[in-house]
Amino acid sequence: MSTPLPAIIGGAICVASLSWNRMGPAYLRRRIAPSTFIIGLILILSWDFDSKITDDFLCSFYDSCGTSDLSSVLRYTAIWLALLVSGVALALNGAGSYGDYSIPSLSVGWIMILASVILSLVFHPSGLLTVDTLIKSLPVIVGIMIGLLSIIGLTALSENFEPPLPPAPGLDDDERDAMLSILAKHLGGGGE
Amino acid sequence: MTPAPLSGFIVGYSIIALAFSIHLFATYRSGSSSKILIFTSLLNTALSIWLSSRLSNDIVQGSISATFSMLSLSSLLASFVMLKITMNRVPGSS
Repeated sequence: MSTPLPAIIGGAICVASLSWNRMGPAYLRRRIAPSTFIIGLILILSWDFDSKITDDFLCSFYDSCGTSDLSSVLRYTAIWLALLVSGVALALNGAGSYGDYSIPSLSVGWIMILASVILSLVFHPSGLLTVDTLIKSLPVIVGIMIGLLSIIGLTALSENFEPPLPPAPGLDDDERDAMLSILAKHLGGGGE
Repeated sequence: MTPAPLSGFIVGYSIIALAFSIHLFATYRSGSSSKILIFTSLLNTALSIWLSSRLSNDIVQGSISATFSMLSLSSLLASFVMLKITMNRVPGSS
């Protein structure tokens, strides 16, 4: 698989599943979010990273071919990010935030966090981070910030121009059952 | 020829605009979602994607690559936050 199209679709699926994850437990979409996220990740990682992105359809799409280290940077980012997320989850669990204090969980979590820091900062495919990298990334970060501001503006605009929405429709039978089971699990178990 | 900083800006803007449109479609619920918001967001995304499609491929890839490289600093930041959480929760520390 040499074109980045599956990776782009995978990225879109990951964004959608993260949105579903914020919808609340009553929604079916919320319940399938984790598995959808994994499918998105598989699609991203199924991209043949040895094939340069500029050899693919994007080359003709942008009408400018060349070489890039983007694919290797993405691969390294996926690896250290997975290590970091797993390490943080284990360390939080071991530190007693979501369970009992556990030295083994805490230790393994911290080993993974430190491995992630070392991998991301020392063994980066582009070498050590430089001021040049920072300068090149600044306009993108500013663009993301301005993009977020424009989203706030669009939301305010739509609220001003649209009459207040009617109350949200009630839950359907499946959603109601899911809510009842969650409430029963949290409130009904210990007679509290 | 678009200057590199402006190209980077358009790339960042396009990424967030596209992610927001995907978010609106993913969380769409009939009767509850704002149609004006969806329409304006799609317009915003289409415009930004059109602008970014006119940029040099090398500059676009360089900008994304540099941003992912800078993202690696977040692992260092996360490790400091985790250190604080771990130290606060050591048994007998409070």
